Amino acid sequence: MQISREDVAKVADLGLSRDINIDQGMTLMAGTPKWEAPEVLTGKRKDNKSRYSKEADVYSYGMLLYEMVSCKQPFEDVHDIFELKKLVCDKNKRPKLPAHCPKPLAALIKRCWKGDATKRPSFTEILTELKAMKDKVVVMTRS
Amino acid sequence: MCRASLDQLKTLLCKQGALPSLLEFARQGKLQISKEIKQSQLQRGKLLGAGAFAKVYTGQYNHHDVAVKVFSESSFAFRLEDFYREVAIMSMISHPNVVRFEGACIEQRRDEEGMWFDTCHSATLTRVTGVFMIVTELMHQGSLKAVVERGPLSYDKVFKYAVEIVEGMIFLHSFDIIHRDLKSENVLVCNIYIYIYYHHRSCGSLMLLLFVADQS
Repeated sequence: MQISREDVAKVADLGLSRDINIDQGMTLMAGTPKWEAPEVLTGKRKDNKSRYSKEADVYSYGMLLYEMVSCKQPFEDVHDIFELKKLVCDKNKRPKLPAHCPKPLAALIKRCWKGDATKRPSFTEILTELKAMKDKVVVMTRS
Repeated sequence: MCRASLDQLKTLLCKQGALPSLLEFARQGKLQISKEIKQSQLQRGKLLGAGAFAKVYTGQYNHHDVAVKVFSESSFAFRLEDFYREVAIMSMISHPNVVRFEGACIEQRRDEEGMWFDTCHSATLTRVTGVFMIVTELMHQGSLKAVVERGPLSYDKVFKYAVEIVEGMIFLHSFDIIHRDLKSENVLVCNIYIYIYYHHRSCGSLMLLLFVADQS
């Protein structure tokens, strides 16, 4: 008998998850600002949809990928919410990806970070792209 | 508690018009309904972490390790509505990449005379207080944030976790559930052991049996 140990990542802390409809008219901040999409930070979305949206989750997922790739938290040197809003919303700034980050992955993360929520990929699209680049990139980084 | 939470859940869901589709998922066996855990079945262990709304402890339930999230009911941030909502969401969904819900437990407090007492210790005795707990599977490696802090991940691992998290999120989004606080701290990592038995058959072919078991 062989025993192999594997680890699995699971999404947790659904305490803040809500059905999208419940979210209408929320004024309080629910998440963690540095992971939040510009439209969540400003509370404004061009198409008047709820600012907490699937697209906002995709933006945060981009930050999560950044954490895994860079071993850093986003905007480590930013300490107040006004500075953060100025950088993310007004100047459209995002964290700098390390040079070792494979190009296709870097491009995907940047698309998750688009200021215009409608231009971000859906999780289904992300899955297709990740699966396509996975094998190529691993071979590439090893050779 | 079970009945009360289900009634509240139904009211909430009816308001949102989501119940019909949720019932359809229940019919398809994709949903399960909230499970009450009795206080006597649950032992609380050491403190794992504390947030603004809740503290998380290790625990034992049904002879296996669990994580117990205890809501700070005295804090201003605690709303019973949030507790029921989290229970409702977690008890109705099940996916390999979403932390497994074991049940909810409400520990009602009594004073020495056996009387209910309320949070402000006034004589009204109208409000029964309690400790509100959500019991989930224990993720032995802790948060992805902690895993990353232990050392850089290989790109093999980055892609593995990235795909697993996306699969959990696709599942949540398929129910129109938005997470709103996705970050490495809110992704947990656990070990699973895969037992592989090799068995030689007389015909010489190799039969391979594989099953996956939780570490607990």
